[in-house]
Amino acid sequence: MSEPRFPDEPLFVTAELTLRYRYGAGREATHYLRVLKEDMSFEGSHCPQCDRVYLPPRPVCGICYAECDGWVPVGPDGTIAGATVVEVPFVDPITGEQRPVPYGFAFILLDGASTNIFHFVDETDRTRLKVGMRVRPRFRAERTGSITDVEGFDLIREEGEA
Amino acid sequence: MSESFVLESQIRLPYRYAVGKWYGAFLLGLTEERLVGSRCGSCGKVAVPARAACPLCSAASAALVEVGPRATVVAAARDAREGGRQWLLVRPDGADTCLLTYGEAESGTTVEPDYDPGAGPVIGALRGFRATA
Repeated sequence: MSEPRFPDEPLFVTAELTLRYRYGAGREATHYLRVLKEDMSFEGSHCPQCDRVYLPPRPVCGICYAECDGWVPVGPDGTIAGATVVEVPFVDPITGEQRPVPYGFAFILLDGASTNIFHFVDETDRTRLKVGMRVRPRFRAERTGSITDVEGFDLIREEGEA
Repeated sequence: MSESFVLESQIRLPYRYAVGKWYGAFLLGLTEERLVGSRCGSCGKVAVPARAACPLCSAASAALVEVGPRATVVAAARDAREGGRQWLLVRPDGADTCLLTYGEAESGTTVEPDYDPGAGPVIGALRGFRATA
């Protein structure tokens, strides 16, 4: 046999690291996700001191540190507080697959909430996404108790608007 | 209080990297059913798998060297979990370092490589080591 040799072309190794995990969602997120799944609605947590309504909910107010005292229905409609269209393909760390682009993505302030959630919006033309636009959630028929039970938010278009 | 939701998810990180010419020579060697190491340009020790720098003195490697195929089991440990296999640390004849691999053998015994001829230039081309015939 011939002498050991270096490869003529670079050799590549293809591999994959999969990190599975599970964790208890806790009291607030459990309530939030259960209402989302069972009622297709949103509830935020209320701070008795500053009157803010947190969505997603949190047990303690992030501004005045008071313990939140209850649930307040918010939305389902909301207003875009910031938006972008993602056009650069990247590997989704959840699926390990390349996420299809382009897609619209926005910070959304649901009616009655004091904080934003972020989610997909059904618009991929950047010039047609504006702060202040009204949106409405589109729920999946099969829901599991996850924020992805909301497939995305649709722009509420005026009558006759494309 | 109602029962808490348990969220299950995962992070999947597919990746690909170039192994470099020295480790590439080792992988290429596996497809030819031989073990390829590297000789240090300073201390003369032989490391396996082949690598660019000597793991013992850090000097640059000077040449590729074929080692084995026979090897001595230096240590053996079984993964006690269900489906777990036995790990072997083996030192191929002519090498000054060990390979971490699989196999059913006891410490101090002589073993030889078990190749997977169709695997191509990947570490899976070396299934492990087995007792010499």
